[in-house]
Amino acid sequence: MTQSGQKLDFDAILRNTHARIRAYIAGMGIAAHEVDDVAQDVYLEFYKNIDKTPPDVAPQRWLKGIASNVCLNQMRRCASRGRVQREALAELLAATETETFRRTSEGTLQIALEECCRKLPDDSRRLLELKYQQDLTSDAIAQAVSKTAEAVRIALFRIRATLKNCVSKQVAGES
Amino acid sequence: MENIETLLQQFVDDREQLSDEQLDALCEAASADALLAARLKDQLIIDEYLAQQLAIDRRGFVAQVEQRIRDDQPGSPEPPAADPNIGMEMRDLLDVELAAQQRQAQRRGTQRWNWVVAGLILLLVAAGGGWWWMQFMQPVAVVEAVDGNPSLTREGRPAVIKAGTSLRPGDKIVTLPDESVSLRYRDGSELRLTGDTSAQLTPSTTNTGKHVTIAWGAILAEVVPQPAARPMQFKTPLSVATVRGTRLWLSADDERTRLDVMEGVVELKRSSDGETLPVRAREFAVATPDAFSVKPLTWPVDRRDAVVLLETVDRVSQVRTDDAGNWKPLELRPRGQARLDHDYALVLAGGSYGLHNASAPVLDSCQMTGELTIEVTITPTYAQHSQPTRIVTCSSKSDNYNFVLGQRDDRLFLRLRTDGADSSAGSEIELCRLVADQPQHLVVSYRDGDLVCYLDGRRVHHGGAVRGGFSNWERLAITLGDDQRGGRDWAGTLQGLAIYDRYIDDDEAQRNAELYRNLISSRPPVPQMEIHATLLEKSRIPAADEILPAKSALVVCRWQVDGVLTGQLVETEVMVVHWALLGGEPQPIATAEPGVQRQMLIERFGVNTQLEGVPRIDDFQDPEHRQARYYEASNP
Repeated sequence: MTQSGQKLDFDAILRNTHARIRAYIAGMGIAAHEVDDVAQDVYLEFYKNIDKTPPDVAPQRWLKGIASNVCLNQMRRCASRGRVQREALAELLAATETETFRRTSEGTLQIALEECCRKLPDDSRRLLELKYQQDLTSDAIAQAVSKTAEAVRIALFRIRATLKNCVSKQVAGES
Repeated sequence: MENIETLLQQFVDDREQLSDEQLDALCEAASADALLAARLKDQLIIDEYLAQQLAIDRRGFVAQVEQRIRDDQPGSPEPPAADPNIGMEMRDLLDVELAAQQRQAQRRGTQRWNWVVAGLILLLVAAGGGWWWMQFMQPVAVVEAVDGNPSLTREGRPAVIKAGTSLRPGDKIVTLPDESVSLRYRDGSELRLTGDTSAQLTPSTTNTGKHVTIAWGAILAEVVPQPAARPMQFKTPLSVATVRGTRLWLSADDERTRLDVMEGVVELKRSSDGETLPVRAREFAVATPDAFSVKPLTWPVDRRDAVVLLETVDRVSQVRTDDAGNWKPLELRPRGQARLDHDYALVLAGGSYGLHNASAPVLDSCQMTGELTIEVTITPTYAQHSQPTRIVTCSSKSDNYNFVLGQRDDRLFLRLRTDGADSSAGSEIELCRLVADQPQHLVVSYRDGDLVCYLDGRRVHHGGAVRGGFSNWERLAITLGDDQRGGRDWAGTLQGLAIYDRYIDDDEAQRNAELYRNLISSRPPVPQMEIHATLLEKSRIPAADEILPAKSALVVCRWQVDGVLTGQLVETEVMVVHWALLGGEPQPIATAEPGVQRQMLIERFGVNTQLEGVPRIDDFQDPEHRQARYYEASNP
């Protein structure tokens, strides 16, 4: 395969898989602010060794393998405390299959999630906006909405659980 | 120990929050309960997808990976040389020196110098480390101003950004629409991030100069001259702009890079194929995967939603007639003493211009959008107008208007009619101070709840009191320099008028100001002389019906120069072309008698090509008086 051919393949794989691979990395318990850095390392590694991808293995699966290694290396390198526990948790989470995410294709889940977000009550959407759009901590959100940080954490946890159920239903409905 | 549910919530909230014991407990629980592990994973994944969907700084991932790959290509700057190498070189040096000293010490039977040399070398190592720190970790720029609530990410963590914040290599700034950050490098180079932008002060991999990576958005940069070997570079997903000292505006996203150069030369390289184009002053380049071209910059930067465009009468003068973007020539009708100057700008003292065919398109478009922007460059003749005057107005008389942009005393004001319930709608809103005899670029922009004014690209007013749309507007004439019915005469020169049916932002206002300033400065200068003179002779003054269908006429008069107040003039007698009739009305020269003394501003008649075709009476055709003609540029 030519260099440009390789690049074209890589571009397509990158565009088609990055959301899911980033989610996979986050799903291993990597800190939220490190997910994209780790994912960049994963794709760089993949790009450098694209010829070594076994022909009978789907690129996404191969990328997940690279991601697992890069995540564990990252934890070994960076975690100043709780390194052993984090590694153990990461390995456990990597081995945990969740039905919803296994069944959905790239793009389907985002669409379903967007749809489910729209169905949320206003105050839930406001919490998501403060958390993700404005990147506020739970303490800062608590101040903004006059609640305790714990109440905010619980509320966000419940909203995510609601969204997960909603996404599952949508995906199941489609399938 | 908290219950597992709480730990779960805390871990999803912040992965680094839990202690070792809490992590142990969470691990143990997740190992024992597959359902709990799945719930945790679901939470983490939904958390990530939400961040991808909602967080501005999580967009552009594809571009970031592509950039990393480009940086990793052969020929890209090497990885930090100073970090490992300085240490290794110093250790090598230390080993060599110690070995040499040991040999010497053996010869001398003493090793005391070893420690001295080792100490010195350790100092060198420390100095090397210090140098490295200076180069790569020290603040490189400082935040000058912040508008809105932009974000700063440092080493992957959110950090506070405000005026005075020091910025380091690697810092990433994200601004949202209507936000901006201005920053200044140690050498005085300035950057301004505006609107929806993500830019990172890229850690320079070698000491090769300032590098900024723009994932998406726009920056305005004023870069002081950089060392030839260390130019400043702006990287976008598609290209690299190399700058050695210039003013530029750069916007980028995954699909397109646009570079406007106001001063100097910038080298733009398309990353995909390495093609490089020089972009010179007053040019812009666009790089996409399929196209790469350089073209001259035109004012205004974005003509979308412009309804009226009047750069100068000889250049762009048109009105949009429909939503399909069809234009036709603007019908300008002078009244009173209104005329054109040598730049074809409108001279409005004692008169006005009606924009005959602009009223309906402006009314229809603005009523549709509920937004309005007036952009204009004016040079007021007077610092003070004790009565309210009209610069750009859509009105018939003082109490019947859609909008009025005018001058009272030394202030620019706006009156805007809206259908909002707020009482301040319709009242006179003071916007900024004006000065006489200097071109000033103004942008006044309105949308429901936002009224802004920019003077020479700087925001000088922002108010939220005026609300509503324009459903109550009437079909009234648009006039420049006075009300349609007169009585509100404004004295000054007007050019660069654009009326849009949309609100425009800081970035566009600033770029248009810059472009129009460049446009003015690119015109050849016309020397003017202010003289004190005595009228010796004048040509015959034509009667109004003699010049029909023209309504204005010029006459040539001979003057004795009594004194030159400003400028240079060697002649003691000058032949000056004056307006004898303007709009059918006789002007003061018509009744002036020989011997009258006047102070006037004159310039070479030949540069006033706008006067070609105007009837001119010149009774001084004899060889004795065939010297160059001057034109009286001051008000008649």
